[in-house]
Amino acid sequence: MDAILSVLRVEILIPWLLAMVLGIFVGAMPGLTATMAVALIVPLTFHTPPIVGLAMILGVSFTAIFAGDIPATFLRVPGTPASGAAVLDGYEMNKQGKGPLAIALDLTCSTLGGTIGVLILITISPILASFALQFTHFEYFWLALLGLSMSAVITKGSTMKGLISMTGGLILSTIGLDISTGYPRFSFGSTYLMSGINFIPVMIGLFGISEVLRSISLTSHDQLGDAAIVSNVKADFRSVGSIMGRNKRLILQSSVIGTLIGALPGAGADIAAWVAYGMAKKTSKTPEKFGTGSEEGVIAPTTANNAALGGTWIPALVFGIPGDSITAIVLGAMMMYGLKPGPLVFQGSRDLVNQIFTVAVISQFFLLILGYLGIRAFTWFFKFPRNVVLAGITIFSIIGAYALRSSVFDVGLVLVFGILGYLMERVTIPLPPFILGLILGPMIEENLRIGLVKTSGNFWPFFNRPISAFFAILLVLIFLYEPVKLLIQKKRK
Amino acid sequence: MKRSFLVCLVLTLTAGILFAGGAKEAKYPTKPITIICPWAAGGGTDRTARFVAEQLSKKLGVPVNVVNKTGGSGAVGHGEGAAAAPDGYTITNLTFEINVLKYLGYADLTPENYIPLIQFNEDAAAVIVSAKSPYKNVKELLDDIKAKPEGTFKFSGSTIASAWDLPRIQMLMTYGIDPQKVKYIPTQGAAPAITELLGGHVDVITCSYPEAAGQIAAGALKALAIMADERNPNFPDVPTLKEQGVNVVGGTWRGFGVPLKTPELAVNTLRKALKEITDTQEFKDFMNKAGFGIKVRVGQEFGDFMINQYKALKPVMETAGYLKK
Amino acid sequence: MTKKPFRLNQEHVIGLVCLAVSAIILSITPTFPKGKANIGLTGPAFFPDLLAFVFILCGVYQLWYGTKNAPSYSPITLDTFRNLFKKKETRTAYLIILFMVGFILLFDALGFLLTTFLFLLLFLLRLGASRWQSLFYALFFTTIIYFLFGWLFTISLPSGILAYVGL
Repeated sequence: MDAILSVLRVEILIPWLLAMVLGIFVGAMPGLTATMAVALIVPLTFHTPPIVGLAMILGVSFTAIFAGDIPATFLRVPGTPASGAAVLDGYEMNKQGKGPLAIALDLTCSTLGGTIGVLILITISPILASFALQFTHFEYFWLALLGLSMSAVITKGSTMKGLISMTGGLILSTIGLDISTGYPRFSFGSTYLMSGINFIPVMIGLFGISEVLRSISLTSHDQLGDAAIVSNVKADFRSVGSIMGRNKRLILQSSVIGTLIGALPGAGADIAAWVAYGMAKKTSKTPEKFGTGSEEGVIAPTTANNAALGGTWIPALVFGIPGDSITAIVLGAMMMYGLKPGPLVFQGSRDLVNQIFTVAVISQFFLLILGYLGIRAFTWFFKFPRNVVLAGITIFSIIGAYALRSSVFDVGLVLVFGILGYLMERVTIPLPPFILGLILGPMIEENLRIGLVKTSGNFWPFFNRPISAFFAILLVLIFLYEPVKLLIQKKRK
Repeated sequence: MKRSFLVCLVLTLTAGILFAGGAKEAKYPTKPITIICPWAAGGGTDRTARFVAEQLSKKLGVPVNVVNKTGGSGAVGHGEGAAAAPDGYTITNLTFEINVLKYLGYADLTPENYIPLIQFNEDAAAVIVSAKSPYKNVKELLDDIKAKPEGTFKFSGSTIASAWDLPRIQMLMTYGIDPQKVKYIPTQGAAPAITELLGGHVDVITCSYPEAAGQIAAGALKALAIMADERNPNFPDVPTLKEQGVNVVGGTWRGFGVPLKTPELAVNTLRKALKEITDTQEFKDFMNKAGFGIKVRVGQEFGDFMINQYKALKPVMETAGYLKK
Repeated sequence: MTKKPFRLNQEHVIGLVCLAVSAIILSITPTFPKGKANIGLTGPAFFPDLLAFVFILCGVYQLWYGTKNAPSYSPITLDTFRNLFKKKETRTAYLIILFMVGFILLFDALGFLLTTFLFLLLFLLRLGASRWQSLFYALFFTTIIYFLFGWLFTISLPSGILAYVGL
């Protein structure tokens, strides 16, 4: 109770709320990530007391991750990498004129996921952190493979085309410096290619710009923009309650997946969202609805990505190890306050830790309100004529990609992958597996190869360590579950 | 109608360009200055760069912006900094990596591509092991490495050929151990390496002391040595490697440079302003709190330091097998 | 059984692209350094080679699949290419791509303000907005982005030639 009162003071609330508003703006902007939002806030926190600075950072990260779902739902442009999976069913719902419902569901689930993630952080973080330390290259390899297997789960239609798309993404991910030898692969002497293909401009291009190109080349003025314009552009909360009631188990499942993956220093909110989506489809009674505007398909990734944020703080607070790029910045800021993140924080600064937890929980309530206002502000944009909306999306995507690392090379990537995405959809090659391959490629390759260096070429540790074995069996189950089920049903007959 | 509209546009543009050509600088600085940071926003180098930018802006009375041009192990940012217009309005935040880019074949860049302004930071590599490990000093560790078969020991710290990897190789070489006798587990920076060490997945890591300070204070890890000329007043208990009879000094550093052919007026103004900043108590407080060591070398002294290190690294890179043929 | 003439369709094209990409990869990877002596799998070429192999399988499958299911796909002929330029809307899409290429080439030189403004103006004009409307919205978005990114997000956008007039 003391902790609650101690953070609800004007001098904390004002910067806290302002930071959360900034988070909405940054998150909703394609190309600008939640990490960037936090990096923006950090210089300001140098001049504030610790709790004010940490409240700003916490607030900005939660709103930014949610706000990334807004353009993902309405425009098929993920605002942040963590929203990649939110595109799938959110945008489909929007095309059917159910965008306002999708975004309302999204906001409520983000809040709920965030809350559950934080509650897990408060209650069992020391256990989870020790668990996360067990993970090394062998376990991360399986986790990445599990993530990649989701591309088979989420692919509609031809499995072969899903495989082609995924392999394409994996191939793209091999461009750049090789981690174990430092050799620049497929870089043709360009320092930009040497840095590898950043998946953010690729995602903006594949999903967003390809849709703009498609919309322009259509004769009739349907699809993009129009769907959002004709519908009532307010978030629609009326049926959210009953939908959530039907999916209690799914929300819990996605929150737990999100928090667990977030707690692993080698994986973050983006992978969490994809895995949660795939697992939701695997455990759903109506898997065939996924990808066609299913409510479950909106709930799973959006719950998981906000839950993952709570997870990333677990290794950060317990061990002083960043759970992702956001907490890496947070740890730097904590050092500036003279706090030594790590086991001693819980003893030396117990009050502050309690305040952090309180701020994290209260931020969820603020997220609900500010997120709603953010949606209102964002949908105001659709009141413009269709061609103006198209011009706006294009220029914001371009400048957002540029801002990533101040380079027009990334703008070029947006264009190239915009065209590629357009062509791929023309020949019915699904886009999501491509993104999954690109994100997970380095994780799979590095962990496999460095793991093998560790063991001098012995594959055994990939199977005989308890967590490795668990993942390996889980993977087998995911793929054998259905054929075996069919077989048993046949036999019974 | 439509054409006249376009003509107007073109005329406006041309006028702008002509106007642009007319302006000549006699004073410095008269417009915003950009600092190119080759590393990502929010990281250590970025934070120091932004702090200095804020101070420099106050001193010179013009805005100073930090632009993060990341990628290629620093090749992108360092490259753009060296190729920028030599007018004194683009400063490069130089880091240790400038000394290895050419050896690795990433970019044709050496410290000689810049006019050195100032170095403001130096962090020695520390040799860190688990608190449970039996070694009390570096000598015991190195002797054991010598005695055990090849591949027994796993080292980590950061990416290959980084400021944390190369001192490790130098240490092994100086003690008469073939660097290939231990395994190196490359990671993306010190934090994941610390995770590996905490989880017991590697045996030894080399990174800066402050990065592992939290864990050392908590009694999970211990530092056997720092690779500096003398002990650090902030953690005086940690002996230097030199004291233990292995004469190796190494680690990372940060500084600023401008492209060659930058006018003398700009170079001198910047050097003076930056030197004054590093003398302030505010700067010292910032660096101490953030866990960065202070080392100031101005102008040519900084240049000589870089060149000497650049030359000294060649045999190290060669032995490690990192040198591009 | 009469032998049907071979007609190229989209499934074949996908297969051919896969094979071409594999060929490129396999022609480059032999120049990569080798992995550690006793663990061949760990070299930088291992993963790309593996993926190239998967792509070859995909490519072959697609060629077979395209031939087997030829009736369900419209064949690609010269007319297909002619049609690519027939519709006004498609031509607009090409033009937008061209504008973006121009944007990329000019962005650093002309600076953010001019390039963005020109890009938006041309984009809107081509998409059928009136001149004054285009002018208004081009200015509107340029200003918004300038303040959002430059001021609020403190991301420096290139000033290009406008640097000389102090912008």
